[in-house]
Amino acid sequence: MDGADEITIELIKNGTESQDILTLGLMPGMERIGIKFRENKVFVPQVLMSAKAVSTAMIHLKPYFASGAAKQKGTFIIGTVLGDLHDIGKNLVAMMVEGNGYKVIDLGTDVSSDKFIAALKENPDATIGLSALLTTTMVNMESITKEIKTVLPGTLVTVGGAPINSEFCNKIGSDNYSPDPQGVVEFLNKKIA
Amino acid sequence: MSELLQKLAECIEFGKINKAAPYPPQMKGWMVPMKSQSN
Repeated sequence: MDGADEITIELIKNGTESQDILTLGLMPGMERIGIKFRENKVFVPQVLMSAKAVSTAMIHLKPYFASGAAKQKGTFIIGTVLGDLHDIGKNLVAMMVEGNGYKVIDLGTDVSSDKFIAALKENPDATIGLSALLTTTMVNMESITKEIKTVLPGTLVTVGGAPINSEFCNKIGSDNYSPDPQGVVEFLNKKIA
Repeated sequence: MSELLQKLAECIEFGKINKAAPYPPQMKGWMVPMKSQSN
């Protein structure tokens, strides 16, 4: 039985629009797994398999994005904040957001505000995602959010991670807190797409 | 065409990366019946 790789190739050969492959094939599948993950019906390994299936299909679609034949919904810049080297949650969010039709710029871990601002200057319409696992590093979200909003005031910032909650999000002046990757996708869809 | 897109969405949902990837249990309905092992 064919998988995402073979089916994507077949769809392209059949003349299906790359935009349709993204919006009617990849995105609904990714949305469904995101909802199941939120509801604890599936776990990290299943999400990773789905993300891998998306990235396999995306290899065939990349030329169409480059040529402009297919458009992504927006740009999302993500990184784990300064002082924090944990990246599992950040990677899950990045994969889920990419699978839902966004261009993702992953700055990695231990990212300073300067790096976020530099990436933002190259992609002024992008939304920023900040991740932290530790209570000792979550405080850096505040300074990074403030610096981003000082330099580029209209920028949307979403935060997440084990020690984060809505109260902290409001306190640091961030625009959104999500306890799961699907929440980030829903925030982006609401604000950007 | 839409059937193929639907199949693609299911492959994403159940993590069926390519032909060589193992069948996720939820996709068993898609399986080609195996040949009988008995001779």
